[in-house]
Amino acid sequence: MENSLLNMEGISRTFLQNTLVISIGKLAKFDERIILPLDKIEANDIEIICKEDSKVKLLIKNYKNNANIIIKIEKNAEFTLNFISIDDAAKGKYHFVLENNSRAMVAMADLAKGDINIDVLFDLIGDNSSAEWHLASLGANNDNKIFNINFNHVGKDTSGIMANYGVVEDESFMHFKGDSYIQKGSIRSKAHQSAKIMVFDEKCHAKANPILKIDENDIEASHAAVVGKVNEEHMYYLCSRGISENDAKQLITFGYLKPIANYFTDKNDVEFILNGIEKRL
Amino acid sequence: MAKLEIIDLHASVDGKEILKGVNLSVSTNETVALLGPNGHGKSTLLAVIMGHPRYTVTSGKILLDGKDVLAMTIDERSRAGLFLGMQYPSEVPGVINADFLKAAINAHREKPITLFQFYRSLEKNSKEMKISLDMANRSLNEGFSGGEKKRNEILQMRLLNPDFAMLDEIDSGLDVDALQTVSEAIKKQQESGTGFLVISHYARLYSLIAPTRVAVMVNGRIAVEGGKEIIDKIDTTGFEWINTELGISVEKEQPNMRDVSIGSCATREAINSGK
Repeated sequence: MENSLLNMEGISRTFLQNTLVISIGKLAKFDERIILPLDKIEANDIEIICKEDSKVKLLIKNYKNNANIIIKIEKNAEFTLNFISIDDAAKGKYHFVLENNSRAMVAMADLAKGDINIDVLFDLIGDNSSAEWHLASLGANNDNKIFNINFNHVGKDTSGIMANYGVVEDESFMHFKGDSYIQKGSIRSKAHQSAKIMVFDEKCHAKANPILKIDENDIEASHAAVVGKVNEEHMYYLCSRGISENDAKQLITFGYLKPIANYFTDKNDVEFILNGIEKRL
Repeated sequence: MAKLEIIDLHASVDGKEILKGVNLSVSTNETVALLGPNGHGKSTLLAVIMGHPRYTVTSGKILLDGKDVLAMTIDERSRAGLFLGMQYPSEVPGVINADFLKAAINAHREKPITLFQFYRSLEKNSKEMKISLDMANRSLNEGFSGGEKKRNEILQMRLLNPDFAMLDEIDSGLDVDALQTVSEAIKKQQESGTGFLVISHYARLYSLIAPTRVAVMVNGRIAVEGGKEIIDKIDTTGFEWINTELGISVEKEQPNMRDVSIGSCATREAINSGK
């Protein structure tokens, strides 16, 4: 049986006013990724606390509608969250609160059929805290997928990186949005946003409009948003070698979404994602 | 013996006519050198034969063994036996070279190639092209040097074994050794009967691959055809004689206006990335 957050030793679970509180002990370090089985948890509100100097890597494979998850990452703690969705899609809120020198790494491979509406907020409260968000999403049929990814820089020397890659087909809709806000006093902080969506068909629709709000001078920020068709030159090049238009599109899409697998360390997860992309294409 | 025929071909880009009645034919077992001043339509001709979407053919015909090439999609042209080694091969991020090569090979076969056969063939041809095998695991042309890109083009030609190979300045960006490697590969391909249509500005490549015929393109037409002596003439005296001997005045290239765009960063990135 795979490691589950609900039965691992060294992790405490308690119920507090309809909230499931999961606590990863001080100095506890888990190298193997642990599954967070949202589908087996009745409560919608979940609080995960990574105590000081702890290290944990969680995997969410099954979403839960209306999940409201708060993740507190204490001093020097390292938290990794991997999302994979192949079949289920859902709405949910994920709020990360980071203390001094803490780190959050979040990667999401979304190949779900259906609608997604996810709100994510990284509160970079502590000095030298950092958070990264990586997303690859494929929309098809009538999927309606909205990703709202926000960073709030409060501490000094914080870093927030967002990289969203999307592909839309058929009559689907995809929207990448979110604010990166660098507050006054959050000196030497870095905010990098990139959001790219490749549009395949006439009737699909995509928007990418991440926003930077900056109230501090001594910072570093970048911001890129692109919504566009498949590069005509790339298609021409592949087709000129005898590859059909359809196969060329598949190769390009696969190449576009596949890099998300680099953020997943478990071999089975990587395989699951690559198979999932292939199956969807 | 197969034949590629271009008959009174007119083509334009963005409303501007570039090819103004090209007549040329190439047979298998033949290597035709295509020369001409910059901006007179050599590259356009090759791109139009391959089916580049930017160009519009306004009249004329391209026949491959009597079959109408202009009615074929780009991939059908390749499968019919045409190959274009490009001057500026695209960098395609994320698409792994080996996956691309395998897909291209399979597109030309009824039954998919076995993994073992594929690697044998890739290994053999990479060695011939002096390309390191780990290049196969990198993104297609991404971060390749100019020389590596050109060798990768020739590698593809060898793997696909076309009836007709068109090479557009395949020697630009190659050092002396790489030029030797590339011309050796072209010679091997010539031995298997492939017909060539080769653009180059340098006599050096031509001296290595020995063209059987020479065509000079001026003002969007083939101005003159002949033997190898034309290459030497152009190499030593340039294109002036076309004017003095043939009475064709060589049109000068007009510099184009650059695209100017005023927009947000997203717009600019979209333009730069060509999307």
